[in-house]
This record gives sequence, structure tokens and C-alpha cells, in this order.
Amino acid sequence: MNGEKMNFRDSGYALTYLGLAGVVFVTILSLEYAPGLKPCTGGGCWGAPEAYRILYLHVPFAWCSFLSFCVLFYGSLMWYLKRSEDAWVYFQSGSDLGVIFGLGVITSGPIWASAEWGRPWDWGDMRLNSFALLTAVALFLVYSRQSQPDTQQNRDTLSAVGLFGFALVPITAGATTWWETTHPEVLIVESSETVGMSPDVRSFLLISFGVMCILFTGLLILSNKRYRLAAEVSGRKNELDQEAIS
Amino acid sequence: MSGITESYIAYAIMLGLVIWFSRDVVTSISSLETELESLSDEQPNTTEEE
Repeated sequence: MNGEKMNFRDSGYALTYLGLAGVVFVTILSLEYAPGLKPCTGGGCWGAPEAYRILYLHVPFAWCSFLSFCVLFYGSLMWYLKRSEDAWVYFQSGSDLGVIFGLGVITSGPIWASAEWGRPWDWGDMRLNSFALLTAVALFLVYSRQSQPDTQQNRDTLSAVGLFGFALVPITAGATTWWETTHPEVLIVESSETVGMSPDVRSFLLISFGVMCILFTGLLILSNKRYRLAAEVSGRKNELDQEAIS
Repeated sequence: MSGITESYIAYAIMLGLVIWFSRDVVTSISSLETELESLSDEQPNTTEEE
């Protein structure tokens, strides 16, 4: 049983390396061979039609950041319900992954916007600002964890912030549908004819998301392993201290 | 301006982030495993002596 558990945890390495190789492969395909975008459609003309290639990694990054916040939400909720170390492990992994994928989105997005809109940010756009706030929450959680003493009270406070952060996920995801925004609409789910996204582009994007999910799963397993080991090391140190005192 | 340069820059940043994070996690696991092994061998007496 223990052996099976070890094998599952070690599969994190295989998934991470496979995912990284997949992301590099997707990058080469996206930049060199991905299907092109029609410069002009019935809906208007693209300012920088080649910059759309950013979308092949930007969108999967955004979806993975939402998955990270689901992990964070699970960790926060379980911490409140069970106060278990395992819940805290998920909390830590969720916040770390939220920062990594969130930073990827809020750096690549403005690069695309600079090329397409001529300005990197739109302060009136609901999706951009709520996503930035989401990433800021993850960053706050990571820095707070590292700078504050690891006490139950601090874990309670940070979990409350984690739960609040998750509330921003549906707002961010639905922003382009509920409010008028400059950010492109939900291209994958809705009809793409008006914005010039062909089924080839959509399929390519979904393949990219599949690869990113492999990487996300691998990183989550490895990150959980890291925090479990850290808890084990800390517990062992406490044991040694107690034994030395007695 | 087609935007291909911007695409390369954005890809470099996103790839850099995931590669850096993966490397950081793998390195941390390796050093924590080493630390745990050395702590398992350690006796409370040796800690006292230190």
C-alpha cells in the first residue's frame, strides 16, 4: 500500500517532465506551424495578427490558474473543516501554482494588448482587473506564509483570504459575458465566426490546454510532496528538540 | 507590425516561469530528502553536544 502511494507521488516527476516537454513542443508549433489568423473578418481587422499566437499558451495558463485557485479553495475549506496538515499542503501548493500561472497570464496578456490595442492595460476592463487582483491575492498568500510565523491563527487568517480569492474566479471567468469589456470574449465555447477563430485554431488551443493540464498535475503532485516533506522535517526537528530537552 | 516579436517574448516569459518553478520544486524536494535522512540518523545526544 505504502509502495503504491510512493509510486503515485513519484509519478509527479514523470508528469512534470512530460508536461514541460509538451509545453516546449507546443511553443515551437504555436510560433512556427500553428494555423494562421485571418487579418480581417466581418467583425473587423486585427491590429497585430501574428501576436494572436500568444493565445495558445496565455489561455491554458489562465485556465490552469483557475485550477490552482480551485486547489487553494479546497485547501482553505479543508483547513477550516479538519485542521489537517494535508489540507495545509494543498493550500500552499494552490497558492504557489496560482502565482506562477497568474504571473504568466498578467505578463503575456499586456504584451499581446500592447501589440493589438496599442496599450498594455485597460483599467476599466473588469476581467483584466479582477484577474490582476486574483494574482495579487495568491502573491499575498505566498509572501505572508513565508514572512509570518506558522501558527494556527495565521493559517486561519490566510485560509479566509484564500476563500475570498476563490470568489473572484467566477467573476473573472464570467466578466466578458456579464460586462462589456475590451478583453476578447469567450472564444472557445461560443461561436467563433465573428472573431475569425477557425476550428483548427480552437483544436490547437485545446491540445495546448491538455498538455498544460499534464504539467499542472505533475507540478501539483511534486509541490504537495515538497510541503509534506517540509512538514516531516519540521516535525522531526521538534521531536529531536523535545528528546534533547527531556 | 505583425506582433511575432511580442509572441516570442511572451512565450519566453511563460516558459521561463514554468521551468523555473519546476526546477525549484525538484531542487527543494531533493534537499529536503537529504535533510530528513540526516535527521533520521541523528540522535538527541548529538544535538545536545552541539
